[in-house]
Amino acid sequence: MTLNQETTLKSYKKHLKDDIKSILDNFVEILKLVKVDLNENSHNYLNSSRIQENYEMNVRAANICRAAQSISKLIYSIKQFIIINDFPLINEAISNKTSYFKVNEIDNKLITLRDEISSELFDLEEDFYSSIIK
Amino acid sequence: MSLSVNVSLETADEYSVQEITYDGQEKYTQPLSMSENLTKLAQRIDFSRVNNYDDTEPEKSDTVAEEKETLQSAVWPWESVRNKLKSALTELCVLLDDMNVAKDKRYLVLDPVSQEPSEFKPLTALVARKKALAASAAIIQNGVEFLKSHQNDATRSRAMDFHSELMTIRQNWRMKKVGNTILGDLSYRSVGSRYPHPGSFEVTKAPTPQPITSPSNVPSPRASSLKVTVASDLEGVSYIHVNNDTLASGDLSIPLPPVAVSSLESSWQQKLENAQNVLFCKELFAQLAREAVQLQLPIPTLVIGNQIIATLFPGVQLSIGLCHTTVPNKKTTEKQQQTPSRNEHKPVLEHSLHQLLREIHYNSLHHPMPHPATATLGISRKMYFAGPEAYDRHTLMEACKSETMLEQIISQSQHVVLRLRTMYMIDTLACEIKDPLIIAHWLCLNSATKSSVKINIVSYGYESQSRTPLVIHVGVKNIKAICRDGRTFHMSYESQELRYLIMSQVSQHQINAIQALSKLMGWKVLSHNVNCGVGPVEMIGTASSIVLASPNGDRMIAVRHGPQSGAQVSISLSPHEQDFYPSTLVKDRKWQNINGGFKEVMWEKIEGKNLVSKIEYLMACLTNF
Repeated sequence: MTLNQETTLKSYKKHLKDDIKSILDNFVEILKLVKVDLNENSHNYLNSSRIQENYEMNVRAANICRAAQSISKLIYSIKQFIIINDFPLINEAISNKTSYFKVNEIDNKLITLRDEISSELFDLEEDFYSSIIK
Repeated sequence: MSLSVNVSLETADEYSVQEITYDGQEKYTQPLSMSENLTKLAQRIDFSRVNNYDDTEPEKSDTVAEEKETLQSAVWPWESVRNKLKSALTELCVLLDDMNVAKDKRYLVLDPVSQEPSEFKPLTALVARKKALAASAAIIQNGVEFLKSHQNDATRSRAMDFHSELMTIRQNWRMKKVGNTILGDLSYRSVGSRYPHPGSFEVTKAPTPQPITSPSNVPSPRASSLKVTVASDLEGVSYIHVNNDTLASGDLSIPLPPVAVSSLESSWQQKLENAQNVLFCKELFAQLAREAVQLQLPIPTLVIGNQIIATLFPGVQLSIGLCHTTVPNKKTTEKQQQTPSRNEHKPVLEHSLHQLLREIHYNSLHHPMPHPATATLGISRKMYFAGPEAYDRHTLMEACKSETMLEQIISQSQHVVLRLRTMYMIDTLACEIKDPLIIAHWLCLNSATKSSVKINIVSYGYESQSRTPLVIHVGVKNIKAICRDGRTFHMSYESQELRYLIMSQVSQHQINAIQALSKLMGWKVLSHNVNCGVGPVEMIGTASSIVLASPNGDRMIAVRHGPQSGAQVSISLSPHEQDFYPSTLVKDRKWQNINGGFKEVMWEKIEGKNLVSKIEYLMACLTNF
């Protein structure tokens, strides 16, 4: 595995961790926001701050969605990465194909075919040149 | 108005009294000079009033008081004005700072001060939070739905999703991932090619096709989710057009097989194969063109545009062209139909060109063994022996000589031309010469530059009696013929020479066949000559002759057969006449038994299929038992 591939894998790992962390953090934050504090100072609790909290929750929910999509994208690119760097599978495919095409068998058949055709051709030539119509 | 009187006003010419001393003396104030007067007037300006600020009103009294003070303690007449301007500047600076602080919000946030603090209701807060939570849940739900539908779409609409196809394409082509793009490699570099074209292609995900609203029983062609982009100069179909004709043709028309055109836009596999083929053809042509420029032949090779012309034989040229079509438009196909290709394509030669290039690729990677660590890699097997065997310069030069691809293809095409000519010549002769049958057997074992044909000359009906075999080896520029008696003839590429040879062989065969027949019939061969010196001179070759005597010796047949003049048969009888009339010269009957002169037989009147059967008939007629 080359250095480049290792860095790619590391970046995938980091990506995954970041996304999971983002989902978790946002979820926790939403739960925190939901809590109604009875001892809340009425002066601090204004209409505007309520709107702000509402908005924050929405944004955090959207963040969770974004992180989930980002993970699905990550899965997509990991799949690509695996497919492209899966050399054992490719080797197997190549050897399968080689055995599938059966080069030697085909060669032998072709040689047999050639022999048969040439012997037939000999007779045909004999007949052709002996006939009146040429 | 003219009567109006001008009234002039002027200040009283007395000064205002400042104070009166106790002794009654009046002290007058000194009159103000002009500048002092201006200063005084300026001091009276109330700057705060000009601003019209309400809040400055209460300060007015202070200002006035100050004014008085300054008036009294004015050291410098403009000082108060300066002080006022200074204080105004200070206030403006403060205002500006305040505004900056309020705008930046780094240190301070301006909040409207609620006049009446609202009372806190926990239930309202709960409802509000519930609402907010519901909204957030809806957002997340939406996201989940989107992901689900996306996944379902991918599995439902296509039997093959992107990754399965990617796997298939990966198993067939070399690919790598660079950044976010997937690049593939079409080039033959991994098998030894040194063509500089990058030959890369890009794999992307195809845009989702619109759902086709076709009835379900009609199977719509499965849309591929892969999109393959190749370089623009590799698109389309191309092939190497090889032909040898007698005329130097102009530009090449491209008679593409319709199958190739129709399959242009089919699958990615087809597209990649086409692109790779285009790349291969380009490399092949580039290699050939380079060799054509370097090659020094007596008649130089020409490279014109996409065509290489080399002379094979006088009047016969080999032209190799690179044909490439990107867009199968109707115009070109129509044009091709109008002008049917006068020079047919030679797929065999094209195939050998492909083989030659592949061999070069193979050789560039597979060097002959051994591979000692001390030696240069890639030198030929012969070179390894150069040192130990102490080769001289000439041998080394010979060893280093290698045929270029163009030379090889030229010699192959020369062989093809020569072989076709020979074939045509033998077939024409077989048609022309009916009497002895000329039977040609082409051997199946041949190489690209050597093939051989076996010719049997037999007489019909007497195949087992006499047979003249002849083997002809067709090489690159010459033909070698080996006759029955072991003689070898080397001939040039002119097939006329071969024609003459076969004709003389036919002539000799006839005489040989008659000789063989005579044994069977009990006739005696008196003379047999393959190079007969008598009679008219043949245009080609020499005539052969044979003289036969009947078993009891009273009849003689003389046959002369020339390659061009044909058969000439004469007979002589003994006794030459049935009735004897004694004359003054020949008085006795016994002289009748001496053979008379030869009389030519009217050969056309004799019954029989061919010369040998006619001779047999003649022999049968002439034999007395």
